[in-house]
Amino acid sequence: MPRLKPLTPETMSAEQRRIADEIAGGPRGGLRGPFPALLYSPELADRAQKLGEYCRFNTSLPAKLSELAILVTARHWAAQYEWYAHARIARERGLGDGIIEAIRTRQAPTFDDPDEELVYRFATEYYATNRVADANYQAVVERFGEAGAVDLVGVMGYYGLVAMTLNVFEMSLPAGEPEPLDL
Amino acid sequence: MTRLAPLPPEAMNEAQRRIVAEITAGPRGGVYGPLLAWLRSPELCDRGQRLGEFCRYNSSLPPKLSELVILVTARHWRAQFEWYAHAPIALEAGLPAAAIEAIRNRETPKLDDPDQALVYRFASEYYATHRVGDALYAAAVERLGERAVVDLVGIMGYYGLIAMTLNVFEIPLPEGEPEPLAP
Repeated sequence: MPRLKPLTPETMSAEQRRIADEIAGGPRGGLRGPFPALLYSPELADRAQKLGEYCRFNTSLPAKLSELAILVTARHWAAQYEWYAHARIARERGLGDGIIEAIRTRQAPTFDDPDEELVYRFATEYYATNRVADANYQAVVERFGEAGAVDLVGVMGYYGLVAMTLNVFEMSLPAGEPEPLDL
Repeated sequence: MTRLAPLPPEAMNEAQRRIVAEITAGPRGGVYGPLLAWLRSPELCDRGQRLGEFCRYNSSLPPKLSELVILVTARHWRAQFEWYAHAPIALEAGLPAAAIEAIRNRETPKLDDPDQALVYRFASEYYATHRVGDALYAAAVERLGERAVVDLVGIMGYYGLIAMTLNVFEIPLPEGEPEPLAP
């Protein structure tokens, strides 16, 4: 059970209703994931969802790569809901099942696509050391440009915020779904 | 030295110039630190800085608490610039110098202010375990309220994104400043 009671249209303030409608009316198509919790602080929900819309739908990175960075982030924080929601999207965007399963079980995936390998190494190195060494940094900038590297960091950071929200407020998986990640 | 190539005003595109003008006119007064990196991806910069403006200037947490959360976050990610920039702000906001020094050295700070003690435990427990236990969560909601706890999580997440940006792009401290955080 989530720790925060989900707000309903009846219990929302006018500001919360406006923001909830904006989120549900955008490309997400509903008020899910971290947003029912964030909505308790409407201005935070509004600004976070706008950053999130960019990170999820509009970065310069192909969706397959940003979804890969999201999965590494979800694994890092053991964010069950984030993994549950994005493993499916990553698969739809072309990330291989074997890679997804390896990340889920904390094994090193085998990549055929060098771009995927680059993003995986960048994100993994950052979470392990809080830094990205020259070799991985340069490779990412050469391949995706400085803007691409900024977007990659933006995706990791934003989905870290989402993971924290999901974990702290214990946003639940749909009934009957097993938790995908060990702790 | 930062890893980023210089971006002088004459090299900026229209979107970048517009964002610089807007940030300069706001409470930050200029584009520096992590925003210099974000500017390479103008849309991310625009949306990220709006989220940051809320987290830094307009959340429901008083600065003596939000700046404490920022320091615990900077220490977690070993973000030198984030620590360097926020330690003086935290001191001014009412965090005791000895507590700041303890956090810097990864020791448990002695906090007489019960709200500060609570917020310190909340953020530390999350970073250590990626969860917040029931007793601590209930205590935080009881003392601060649900909305403030949501803001607390938003601040942790946002300053995690900032830390990643600073660390990945090696945004430098001012010339001659020693790095405050040991590995």
